Amino acid sequence: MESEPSSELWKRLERARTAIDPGLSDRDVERLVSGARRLGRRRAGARRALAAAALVLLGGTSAATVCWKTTAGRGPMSEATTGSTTASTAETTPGSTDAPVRGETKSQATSPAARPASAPPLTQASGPSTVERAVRSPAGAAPPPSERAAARAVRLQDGSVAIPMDDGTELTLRESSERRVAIDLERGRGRFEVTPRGGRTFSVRAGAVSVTVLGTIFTVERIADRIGVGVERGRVLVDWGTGSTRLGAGESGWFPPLLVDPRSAQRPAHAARSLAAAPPSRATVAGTSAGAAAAAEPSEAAEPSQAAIAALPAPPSVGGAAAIEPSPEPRTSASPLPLAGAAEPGSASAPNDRSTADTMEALLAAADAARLAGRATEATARLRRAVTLHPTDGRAPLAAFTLGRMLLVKLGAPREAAAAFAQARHLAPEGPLAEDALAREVEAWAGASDRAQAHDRAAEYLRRYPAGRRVRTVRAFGGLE
Amino acid sequence: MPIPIRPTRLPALRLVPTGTTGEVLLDDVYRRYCRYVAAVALRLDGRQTEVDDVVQEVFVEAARGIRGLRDPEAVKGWLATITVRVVRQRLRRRRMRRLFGLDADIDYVDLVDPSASPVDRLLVRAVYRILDEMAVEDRIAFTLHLMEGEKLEDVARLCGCSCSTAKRRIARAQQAIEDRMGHGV
Repeated sequence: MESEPSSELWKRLERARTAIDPGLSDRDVERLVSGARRLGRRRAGARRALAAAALVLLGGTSAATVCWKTTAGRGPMSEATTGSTTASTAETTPGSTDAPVRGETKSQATSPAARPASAPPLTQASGPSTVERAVRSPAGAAPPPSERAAARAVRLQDGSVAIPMDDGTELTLRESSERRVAIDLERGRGRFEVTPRGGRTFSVRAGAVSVTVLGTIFTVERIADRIGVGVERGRVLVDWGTGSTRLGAGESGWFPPLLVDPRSAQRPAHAARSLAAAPPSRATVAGTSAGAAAAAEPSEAAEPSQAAIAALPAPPSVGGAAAIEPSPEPRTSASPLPLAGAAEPGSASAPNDRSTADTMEALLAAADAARLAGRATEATARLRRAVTLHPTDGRAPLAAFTLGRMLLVKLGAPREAAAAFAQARHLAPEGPLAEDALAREVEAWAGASDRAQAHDRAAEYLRRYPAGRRVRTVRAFGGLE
Repeated sequence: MPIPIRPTRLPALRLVPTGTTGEVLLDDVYRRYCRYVAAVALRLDGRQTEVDDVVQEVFVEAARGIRGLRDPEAVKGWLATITVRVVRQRLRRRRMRRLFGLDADIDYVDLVDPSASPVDRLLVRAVYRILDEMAVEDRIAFTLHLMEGEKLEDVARLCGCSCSTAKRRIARAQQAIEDRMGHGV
């Protein structure tokens, strides 16, 4: 070593390099893989939007083309004339293997004159087909997302309209006949304005839940295996195979519910009828207007609470939501859970429903919906309420933990976050979240520049979990290195 | 007689760049090389907190170019090239941020596994702190050669330079480290 000091250094370094390893678990790998997939999709969507915007900006009065790919031979997808949108072309691409109806901008200018005004509907197509429509935008300005979404509306042959709510929405026209129109929502959100027509059902299937409509307007969004249903007008019957529920105007919920009221197992007769000719689990909407929401890929924002809700023990009153806080009126099915944007408890559109809205599952669902919609403040308020009102519920630690994460990551309130993590630990000192909560508490105190607290909590972590998963992070945040 | 445990040999990767199988192919590639890319990224970048971002960035770039790849055997090296490119960009941005005092110093406490000896941990920590002050190209060449164990010609290929240039960069980095750390560490 004395004679060749530098080579000794490099040898030692080469030996030490084996200890530099991220040590990814299988779970980490899956997380990264799905994260990369999501990032790729986001980037692709952003690129497409940018290209469309650039095309509109550069093209002046020229039209940007929006491409719709539809399942062949099934759909009466005809030209759409929604708002400022003018239908222009319809062409079939028999060789294509793409089945889904996907709303994606296509950087191709198409003259409105290129297609006769009375183009035949795609029901006549024999293979996979593509509907291309010209979207007229104000010269020199790219349309905002909502307008872009509206511009991608597709009017069906019977006058009903399907509108994807964002760029990532994927719809497939599965069946179209005189008696039945069936659309699959593969991912994203869609709004459907259904023209009332006797003898014809209109259904949208999202994962395990379907919404069948008899003359209505509704929106569909899909988030993992959770399907949100909201009703604008009329009444809706939501069926998820093992239960069903009716939703009235202004009501909404996530399905299948986290806790199923045993009474929901009794399926109403007309739901059973609709099930006879439909997939096993579906929701039936009977009325004038309904909204539904469903998601094909796991949402990052939804990850903690939904996964953990499933993992955590059920609350003491496993009998159902009504057992926790009896509802004044017996429901025919699982309690509808309020969606983000749904009527607030006690408001005009949801009178005398505070007791229902304050149930643990309703608060958690509302918090989830608010988180997914990016309303962090509202989500934290719901979570706080959930923890305050239901401290003995099995999901209270999860709510407190999620609250801490929101405060720390989204709202930049590390002191409050530390308190929330402490509460999560206090509620379940030996629970599955206790270790993570303590580690997060250390991080929160470090974020609040309270070194003493961070140090103490870090020491506590190392004492309680000497071989814990977060030892390295805790050491770093606690200044124990 | 003990049976030697050998690493499981994964089935050959097939490149089928069409239709929905493209998604399947990408997922297969992601899963197969996720750990490798993460390890290279960590050794090059040195920051545990950045690994997730780098890996995802690499895979997003890979998704855009994988259809042009014809040789399944080349996937690993190709991913390494992308990783080097992504990390290089990040290091340059970090350098720029540091120039304006926007990048916080990090002491690389998380870099080495806690099971490593304290001496090794101190050594790696010190080396990476010196690397932070080095030219990005020198740092990458050095890290690939010494920390990643790549041969000189592979370092040159990954860095997009000649072997002699790679050698010069590595030597420069070694000299800087020796100067800073002294002999007989």
